[in-house]
Amino acid sequence: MRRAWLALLLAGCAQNAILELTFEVPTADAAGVAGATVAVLEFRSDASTVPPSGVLGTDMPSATLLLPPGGPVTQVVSVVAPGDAVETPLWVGVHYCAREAGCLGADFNPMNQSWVRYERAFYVGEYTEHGLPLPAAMERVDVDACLVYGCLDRERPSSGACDMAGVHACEQ
Amino acid sequence: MRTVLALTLSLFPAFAAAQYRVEPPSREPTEADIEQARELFMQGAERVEQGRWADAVSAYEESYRLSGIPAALFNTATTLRSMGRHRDARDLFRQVLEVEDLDPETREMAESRMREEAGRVALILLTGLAEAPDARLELDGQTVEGPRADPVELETDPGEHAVSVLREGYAPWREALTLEDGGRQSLRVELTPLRGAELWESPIFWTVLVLVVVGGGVLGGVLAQDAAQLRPREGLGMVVEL
Repeated sequence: MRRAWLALLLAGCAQNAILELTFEVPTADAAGVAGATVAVLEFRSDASTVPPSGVLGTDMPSATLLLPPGGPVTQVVSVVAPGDAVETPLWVGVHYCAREAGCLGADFNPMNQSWVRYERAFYVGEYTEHGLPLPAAMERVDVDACLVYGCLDRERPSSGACDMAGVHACEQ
Repeated sequence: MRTVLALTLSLFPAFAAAQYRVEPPSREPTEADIEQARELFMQGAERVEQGRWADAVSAYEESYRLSGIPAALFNTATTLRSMGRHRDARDLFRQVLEVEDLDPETREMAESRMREEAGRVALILLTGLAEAPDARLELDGQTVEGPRADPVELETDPGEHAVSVLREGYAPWREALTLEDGGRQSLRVELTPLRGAELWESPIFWTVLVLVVVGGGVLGGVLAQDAAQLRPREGLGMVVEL
């Protein structure tokens, strides 16, 4: 019942947020991923400062990208976060495997994996975006909140999503 | 007391169940009473000539109350007859006939006119009121009191009339009718329950209404909130939900 009343009060207000990630997917023969045919992306809302560990279950948020045989391609993944996850850092795990089964479930044993950590990627009721090459080598990439674009006036030149005080445009 | 009675009788509608009567003096009239009655009788005659029928009736009635002279009562009845108040006229001619020492000529005339007036009294017969003993019956806007038979008989004068039956929880029943001299008309009273009013008064109605309003509001709110959520832009690629 409380949820119902809350729904009434909040009717008309978006409670979720969306991050549009644009990846440059490496070719199958790229350095560090030779022999892999797929990259399975794992998405976790996790406040930890170290990469999550453990098996990527089939019921966990993920996306499978096929590594192209020719030149690199771009792929967009829209990540929808509920309202209670917007302020938590987002971890994106990149697992490379010869076949998809090796990156998901009980047979989880990726050839190579990297992690991208977004300090903050979401703002309630806002679309944000970020683009990066899919890391190929085993590495960790930390993305500052000010590099996640959103809520900006596209007509106005800007070097980042934050003002001089470091406040993100979506929080102003 | 007599004045009050006179006023009551003059205002009493023709359809009332009680007979129209003018009471004679309760004691032997004095010389002064006789003298005043004579003056009133003369006034009555003058007012008849002037066409002031109601004033004439008042004067004749008061004259009779003071003196008990049958001529005053007879003239009252005759004036009522001229006014078209046939039911009252009939009653007073009948009252004239109750006088024991009435002269034969007046008696014969009273009998004749009583029958004539009785033949002009109109009658409305109402059926269907036995099931509604608490209903209020009105004739020409005035409440009809008294015991209810089935059918209810309403004596009245010829002309246009309106009959209404009002009962709590039911739609008012109304009928307009025109009666000829001596006419009779039967009417069936059919009261329709006010379902809307019953519903309105029901706590179940209010409970259901509140539930519908609150439920609708909550559902509307949930739907509105769902509709307001951000959705992935179409054609961009894959979608992952945390």
